Amino acid sequence: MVKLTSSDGESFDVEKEVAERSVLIKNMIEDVGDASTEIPIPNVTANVLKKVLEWCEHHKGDPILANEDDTDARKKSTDIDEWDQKFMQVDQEMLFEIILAANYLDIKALLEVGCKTVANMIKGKTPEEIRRTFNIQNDFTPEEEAQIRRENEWAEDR
Amino acid sequence: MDVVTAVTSEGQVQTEILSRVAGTTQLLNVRESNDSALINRKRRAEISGQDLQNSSTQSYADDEDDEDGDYYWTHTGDQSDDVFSDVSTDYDIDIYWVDRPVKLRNRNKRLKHIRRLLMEDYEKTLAFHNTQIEGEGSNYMTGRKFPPFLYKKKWALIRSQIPAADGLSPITKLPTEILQNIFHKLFFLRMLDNFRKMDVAKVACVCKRFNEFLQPILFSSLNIASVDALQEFGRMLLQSPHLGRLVHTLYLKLTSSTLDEAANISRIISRIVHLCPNLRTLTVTMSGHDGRNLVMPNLGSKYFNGTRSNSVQNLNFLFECYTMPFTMFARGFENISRLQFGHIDLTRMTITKRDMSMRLNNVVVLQLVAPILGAAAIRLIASSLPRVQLVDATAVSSGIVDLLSAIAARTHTLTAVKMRKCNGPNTRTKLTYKLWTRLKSIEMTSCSMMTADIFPTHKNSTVKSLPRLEVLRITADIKLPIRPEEFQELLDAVNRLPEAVAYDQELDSTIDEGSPVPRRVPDISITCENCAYNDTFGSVSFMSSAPPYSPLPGRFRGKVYNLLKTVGPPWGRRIVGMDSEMLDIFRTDLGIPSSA
Repeated sequence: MVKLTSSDGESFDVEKEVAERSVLIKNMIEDVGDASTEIPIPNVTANVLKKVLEWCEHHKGDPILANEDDTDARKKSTDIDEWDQKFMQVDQEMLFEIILAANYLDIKALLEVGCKTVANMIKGKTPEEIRRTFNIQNDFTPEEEAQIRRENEWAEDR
Repeated sequence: MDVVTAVTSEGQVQTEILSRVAGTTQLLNVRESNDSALINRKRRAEISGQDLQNSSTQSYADDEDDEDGDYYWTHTGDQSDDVFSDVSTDYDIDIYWVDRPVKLRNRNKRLKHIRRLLMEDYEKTLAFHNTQIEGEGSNYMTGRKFPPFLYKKKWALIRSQIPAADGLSPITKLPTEILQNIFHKLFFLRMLDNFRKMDVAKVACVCKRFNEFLQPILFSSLNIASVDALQEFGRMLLQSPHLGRLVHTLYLKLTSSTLDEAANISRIISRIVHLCPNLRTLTVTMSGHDGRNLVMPNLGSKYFNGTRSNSVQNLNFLFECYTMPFTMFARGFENISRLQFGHIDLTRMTITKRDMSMRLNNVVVLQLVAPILGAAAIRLIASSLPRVQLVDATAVSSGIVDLLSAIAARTHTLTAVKMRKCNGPNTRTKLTYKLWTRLKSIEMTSCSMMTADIFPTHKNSTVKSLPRLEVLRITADIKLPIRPEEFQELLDAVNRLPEAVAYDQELDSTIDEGSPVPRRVPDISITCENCAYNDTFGSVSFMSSAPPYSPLPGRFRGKVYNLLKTVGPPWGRRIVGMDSEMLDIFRTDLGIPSSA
């Protein structure tokens, strides 16, 4: 078992196999050499870490995505596993926290799922709808926006 | 506990429904939402998402396949009971039922359509919604069917659309590489059903940060198919010169039938090339107006300040002309590394001494797509490309081997040849010797030169070995059953392949001293139309790939004949040919008399 401590001080005891889904934690365990040592995760809060560990627990048997898997069909696939879809059914704040945590902990597969989920949310929406969905402030002035639209019209094949 | 609001539209009927879930207590807090931007935020209720999911699954289990209903729903509400999340966020759940018959085959389109209708009818919807809830209360939805497909498929999407509680956009907090990853997923992996550049343009208009990411994508490759559009684009680049730096690839499809038009095109292209300092690939497709003759724009003209670009590396010409185009263009593009000609008839071209003095020293790849080569063109190309390393030819009806031989005679750099659907040489000269002995890689796909040219030991060729050959991939059209003499040629050629592979004179440092000198075994892959030689590191088999409907004799189908096989230890591999017993079987199966 490995003991992980979140940024807000909460401790989680998890199986080594589960914890090692994270390349960061895996390297830390290798560096420390003693799996029983408490490993601090300073950038991840307890509720996010709990979710991430839940994902790791479910996917503990999966092959770990490496950098060279960029061309892998799995990465290219836009489909999200049903369990992962349900897992990502959280509010936006949590969703992005999970993505950030996956990035920090170097869990590529979770990062992929997160990015695909966000991409799905952007897909097929107008700019106004995207702003509304993500609560993004339109920081263009009307003139700037008009110019950007005019410029980007060139994107279409002529 | 669920709150379900259903609204029928058609501009007149909107309803709100509260459906009760057995075993749960309903609690409805109707309050005004401050967030007017989001639709359906007028009503807020505390609900359990999981309960709602369970109840709908139970209630409408028999409607699993009912996908004809036109529903749309969104929600906000309290998420605290959700098994999937520990984070509590307030949200409502509203389900809209649009009575309007919307028959769109694509479900996503249908949902978007319904959503648009709802947005249009929002005020009416809201007014009716309030009336109904006052009149009929929470029993309104009782007995109505809930759309299971929406529940299952859209739940995740809708749930994850709930904005952050702090009012700030979490997406803006994402680091650059993650945002890039998301956009990569969105656009390059074709998540959009009908990917168009305008979809990128839409997302780019969301905010400045998105625009920073996406404008380079938008402008990296541009297709311009008229002179007017090209002119307009030039004007736009003058107004926004920063966009010019983003352009890496330009596809121009232009028409020119008069000298004025040609001069105009030359001027515009030279201006645009000047304004696009990072342009890497320029593809020019030209034709005359309405079947009239093409008048070539002379980009490298000495009479005006012509095109100059040090950045363009790939230059593609796709048009018919009788003048060698790169004599006109090449002066402006000194750094091109890949040159492509497509669909050019070069048989009637004439060249001058000045043309012959031109050298494109950086070109390492020459691509030919269906050109008609003439003797003059072959001489000019061969003399102009002193450092070409790879020739990639597609559909060259004649002259390709002559061209290759001419290049090989002038340069030592040519090492690889790729040919698809090319025919044999016009003439066979001793120049061929140099070509075959220098090449490291030969790839021929569906070329009609199987017996005459593929195997250098054939007939009168002076080539006896391929000392540098590392890769040999050949696909040739051979009609089966073949004639006896062709069969014999085939066998001879295959059996001579080991001879064509010379001993590697340089000892591999990894091999122990005293071990046999390793042979360089080429990567051999020879396929025919109805049969194939398959190679597994030196073992070549001849197997029928004839489909069941093939007219080939049944006895031939599906059989595998080992024509060549590798024997010996890894440090001393050698290839041996087909033994006589197997040869007889092969011959019998092909229907070839033993005398052959």
